[in-house]
Amino acid sequence: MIKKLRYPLAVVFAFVLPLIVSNTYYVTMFCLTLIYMIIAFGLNFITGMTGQMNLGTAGIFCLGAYTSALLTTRLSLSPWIGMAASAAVGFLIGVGLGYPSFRLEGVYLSLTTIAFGEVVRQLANNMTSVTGGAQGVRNIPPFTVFGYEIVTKIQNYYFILVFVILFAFTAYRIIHSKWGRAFIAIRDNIEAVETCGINTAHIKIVAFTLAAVYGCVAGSLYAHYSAYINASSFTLNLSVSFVVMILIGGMGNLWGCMLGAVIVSMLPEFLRFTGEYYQLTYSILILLCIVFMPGGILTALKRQQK
Amino acid sequence: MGILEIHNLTKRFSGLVAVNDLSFSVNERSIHALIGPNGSGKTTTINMIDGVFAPTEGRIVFRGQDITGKPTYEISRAGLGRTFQNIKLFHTLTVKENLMVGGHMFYTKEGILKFLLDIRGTKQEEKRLAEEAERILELMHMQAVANHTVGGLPYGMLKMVELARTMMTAPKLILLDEPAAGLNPSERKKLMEILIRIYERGVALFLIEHNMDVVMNISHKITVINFGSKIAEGKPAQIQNNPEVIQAYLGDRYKKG
Repeated sequence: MIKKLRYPLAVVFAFVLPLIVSNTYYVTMFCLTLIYMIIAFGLNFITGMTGQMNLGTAGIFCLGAYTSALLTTRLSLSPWIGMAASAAVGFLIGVGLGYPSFRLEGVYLSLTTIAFGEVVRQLANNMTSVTGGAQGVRNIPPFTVFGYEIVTKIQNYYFILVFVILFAFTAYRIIHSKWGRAFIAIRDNIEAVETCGINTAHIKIVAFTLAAVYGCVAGSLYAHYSAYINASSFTLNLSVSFVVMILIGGMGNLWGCMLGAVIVSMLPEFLRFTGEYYQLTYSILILLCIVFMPGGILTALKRQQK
Repeated sequence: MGILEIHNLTKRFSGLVAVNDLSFSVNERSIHALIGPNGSGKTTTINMIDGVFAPTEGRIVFRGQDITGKPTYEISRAGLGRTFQNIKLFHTLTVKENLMVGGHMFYTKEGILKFLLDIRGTKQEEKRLAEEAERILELMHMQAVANHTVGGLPYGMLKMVELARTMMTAPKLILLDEPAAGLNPSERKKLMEILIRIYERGVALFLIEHNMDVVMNISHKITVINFGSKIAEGKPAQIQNNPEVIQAYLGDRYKKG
């Protein structure tokens, strides 16, 4: 019963949440959590399901955010066009970076993705004439829906939530289709996938392109939501956080991605009392999670039920 | 002309000659076995046919098409399937899902963009793919395990799943690398029945096998290699009585007195 209703229930819960917890500070945090969920859904395709480590997600997120932010501030285009352009950039990253990278495996692939993230961040920081450099991009205009501007935190929350639902629905369809099966098959045994007549390089690029489009659209949402972006936020640390999200939530599973996004973005709040020991406590908690619940919290819970 | 023609195939690994100037032909609608002592180059031969590695010299022609050095997925699409000596399956997926990965290229056509837009078309493709998987499971009497995760199944069953997955690629010829290895006598009997059933559906079989019961019972033609070179070829009865084969591999156990 609950199993059937869990999706509608989750949506209802997400809709009433800001009515219960209406403190602006918390709603701000919820917005960021929702944006992270979209990124986690995307990363889940390439890292969670296909098993290819991607430590360049912050770079993808950064390119998406800057594309949308610069088009709307410099050229005064509509944020919707900015978002479409971000999605197109995601596609280009997917094909352009995916094609050479996915001939590499394991640690070489990880290094390439780290390099990508760092190159993007450095470019955003140093191409001052285009990006504004260390000053960041200010006064990014908000989205408008039927003439209404999405300005307040609550409005933003619901606006982003609609995208989360849309992207979750799409991710659900992909996971439960021939694409999802092919992704997992590559993780399980890549040689056998080739004997099924499947070009594994092509499937990896599809998975990575999906991740890049998800990440870039999330970047666009982030830019217009926060109205100010700065290259210094898109660090390798952030990329690692995204991997941690899908790792501790449960790989290959939408609920795992959502849970992971909630934990990683909320945990700092709950650990605030630890003060200067915050980093230490956070790292130890994540480590314990990974050691005692390999496969993620959801997998561990499922095992207990059995 | 055979369905698969091997011309002067040679593979050198730096100094070692694993396969040396090997030629043979697999006839249409036949069961052909490749036998020989361990290390004689049997798996290397299959790996070259299947595109795992390119031959140093020689040509491989499948159904009139030169497939030498092509990538594995293209060879599979041309109608050449294979199973592995050490089973390669998708262990976190169910048996049916494993088969459906096998049919990915053969029963569905949609690219990712069309997939994202065309919800109804996707459902139909998925249904067709699932139906085909069920048909193959029925052919191999495996409906009972359809929804089991592969990870927990016994060894003999895993071999069947791999064979069933290969059947999903609409093959004209299947390369089987030691299909009977590790099977008990009753599983072996079942395997032979299933191989015959697959053969009767019009699929040619090419197998490497050490179990002579299987080889002698189902093969139409046997090629024997030793140190990478062909030493004999013929019908099972001829091979059993060939002195060179007896000396190199069989011993006189199988000699028909």
